[in-house]
Amino acid sequence: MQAMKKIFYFILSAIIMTACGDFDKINQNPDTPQTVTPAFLATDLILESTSSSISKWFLSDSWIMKTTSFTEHMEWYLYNKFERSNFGAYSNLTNAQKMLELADSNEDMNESQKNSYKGLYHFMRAYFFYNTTMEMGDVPCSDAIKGESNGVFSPKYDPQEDVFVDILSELKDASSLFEHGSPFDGDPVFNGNPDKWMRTVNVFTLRVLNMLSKKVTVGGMNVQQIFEEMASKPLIESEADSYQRVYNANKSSQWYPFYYEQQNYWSYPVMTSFLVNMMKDLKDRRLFYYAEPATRLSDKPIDSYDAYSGVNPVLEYGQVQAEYQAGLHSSINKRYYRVPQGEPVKFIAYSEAQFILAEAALRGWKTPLTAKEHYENGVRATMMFTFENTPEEYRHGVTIDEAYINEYLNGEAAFNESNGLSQIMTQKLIGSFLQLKFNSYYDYRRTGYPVIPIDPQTNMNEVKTQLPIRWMYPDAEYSHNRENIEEAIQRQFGGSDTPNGVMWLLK
Amino acid sequence: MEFTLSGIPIEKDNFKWESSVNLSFYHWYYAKLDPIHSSKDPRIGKGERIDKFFMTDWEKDHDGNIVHQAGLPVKNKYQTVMGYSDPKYYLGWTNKFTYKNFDLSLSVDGRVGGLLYSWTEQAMWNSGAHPDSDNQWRYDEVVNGKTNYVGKGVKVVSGSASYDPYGKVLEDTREFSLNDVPVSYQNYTQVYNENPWDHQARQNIKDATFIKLREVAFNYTLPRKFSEKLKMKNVRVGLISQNLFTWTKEFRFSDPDRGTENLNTPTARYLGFNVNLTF
Repeated sequence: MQAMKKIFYFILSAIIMTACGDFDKINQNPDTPQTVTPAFLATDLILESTSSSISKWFLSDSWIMKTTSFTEHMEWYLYNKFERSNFGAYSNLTNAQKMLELADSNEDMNESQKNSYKGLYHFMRAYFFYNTTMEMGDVPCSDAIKGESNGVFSPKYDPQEDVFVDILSELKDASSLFEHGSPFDGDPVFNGNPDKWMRTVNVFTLRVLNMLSKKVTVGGMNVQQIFEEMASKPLIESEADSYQRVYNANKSSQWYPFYYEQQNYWSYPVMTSFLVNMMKDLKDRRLFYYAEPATRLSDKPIDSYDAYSGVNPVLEYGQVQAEYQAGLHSSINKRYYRVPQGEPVKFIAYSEAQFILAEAALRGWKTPLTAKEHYENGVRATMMFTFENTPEEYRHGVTIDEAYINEYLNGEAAFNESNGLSQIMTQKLIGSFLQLKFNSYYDYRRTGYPVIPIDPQTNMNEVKTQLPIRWMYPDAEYSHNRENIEEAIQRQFGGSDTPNGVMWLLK
Repeated sequence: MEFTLSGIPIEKDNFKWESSVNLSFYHWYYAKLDPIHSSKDPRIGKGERIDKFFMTDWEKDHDGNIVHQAGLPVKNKYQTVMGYSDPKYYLGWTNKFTYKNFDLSLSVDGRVGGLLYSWTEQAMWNSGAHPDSDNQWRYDEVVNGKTNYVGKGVKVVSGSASYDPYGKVLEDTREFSLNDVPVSYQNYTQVYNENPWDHQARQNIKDATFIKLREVAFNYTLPRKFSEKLKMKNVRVGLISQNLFTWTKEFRFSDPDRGTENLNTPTARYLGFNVNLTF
């Protein structure tokens, strides 16, 4: 009996061992990737750098610039109260690091394709460091992303000038790497085209240098000289080649951020008198593309400027809500929430480059064309972009064509050098309505144009006569990186971290 | 630390009263902090209580009045320790009274101290459902279209203050006068009771002290001769109730018993009937 049992168990275990020998294969999901490739990380980085919030926050920079208000309840930006930013963007740089390592170590990838991924790595570092330093001032840069490699968990903060030196150096590398790069995988914006990338990098470099234009030198380099060199390099050739996210009506994960089927805020935005009157004064037909006629003005024809009105953005908030609820003012154009593909959302644009060149020309810097020519290029590009991305039923019966644009550029918007800076900034603001997020704010912070209305009675910024000029550092840094952040705050602001502290860039 | 005192205060004839009181003190302190990854906030350290309640307070003047700007209350830029979230102590008191075949159980327990943020209070204010918001200013705004609410507090007329990240004053040259800027009552209320993900306002952080009449049970045991007639060893019937009564020190609309307050559903009061048969 014992022998039988032994034999039985022996046979049983033999069967079990052979039958279950394929555990590894069974446990593999054939639908998911087993290894990460640089292309996956490239996609993630490119999507992160072109993403918009699917909520009311999509409009948040227009609250600061006073081009729209929001009637659900008070939002701090409407009354110029800035709070804290964060270093969330840096998690992208970890992915960029991994992408670089994977591309470098890939023996099957040829040198020129590696160049493209390396170029992308440098561009993303420059892009995210730029956004973070523009918000807060000194930030960790040389010590950043060294947790895994060097065990640096409390990075020191670099002075802002050094951060910009790094940004410019990364952009220089990126441009040259893309110049010697070949098409790469995983790019939802340019489909891996290194020439378009190189041009985008060059335009972004112009943006950075333009923001630095108050300084004669940065890290020993002459700003004007580098700018003039870059201005003669290949740049973005048309608005359609801008670094942008194009949305798709057929895929719900690719709908326009403010499309009404994915958020509940669409009934709250209202146009402001600051923007509406600005456009009325210029006889700017984009008003009909940005706004809806006010309910109370429905006796006026929809293709008349008189049917549109904006609320005074510096009124006490209860008044703003009351006036909007009484139907006195225009809401934003329905296309922003009724058209699933919306319009492409741009992050680095051809029109932006033209306006930057116009501004530089005004300063006497060497540019491909004259200030007036660049200015007109910018206006044309933004006008046609708006026209082409607005379905006919949302145009309120008004067209924008070459004849109109010529009329416009010879009329109220005619370029006049003595008023040039203000005009360029005005056109930049109008042209980047719900586009190029926060770029208008940084331009305003730098130039003071266009002149945003401020009422000390309703302004919630501590310095009642101005807008805040930075966001405060995140709380977490005070507890986890105490020594370094205290040093940075002492060095920049005398020990006190507030939204009115003047960073190096603005000195 | 926990103390229990129990005994039989009264026992005579057919009456007996057993009672037990329990007090427990329970606090956590940091024993060791990781030199690299732990927080370096000066208020957290070895020997400090782990349940310090950090919050962002309203900016105040030297007399504790809330500072306003543009008629709206202003928040501090640093966090303050308001108190502790753990209770000072828990207490419980159980009693059993027996008289002939009747017995009555009474149990009371509760907690004293400790802070808890009430999402219910904030949500009621922010949405306009709070009974206290039914006042003259709201009436004036909704019915008469006036925006005439003036917040209780002060405004800065000159000077400014600067602080280090932990709340220490670096410089303070502020001069104040009474706040006199009228604003919309609704807007003021919504700013004062902002979304808790962004700001847990001081006035909604409440003392979680409460005392509950946890259980009351009144039973009658059938005399032997009757239960034997029913062929059973023992028959006991009675009424039982739980959560009969709750007294809270500061919580008005929800029960702090759960330990957190995030739009809690109301706790239930049970009233029941008890039948106990032993064969």
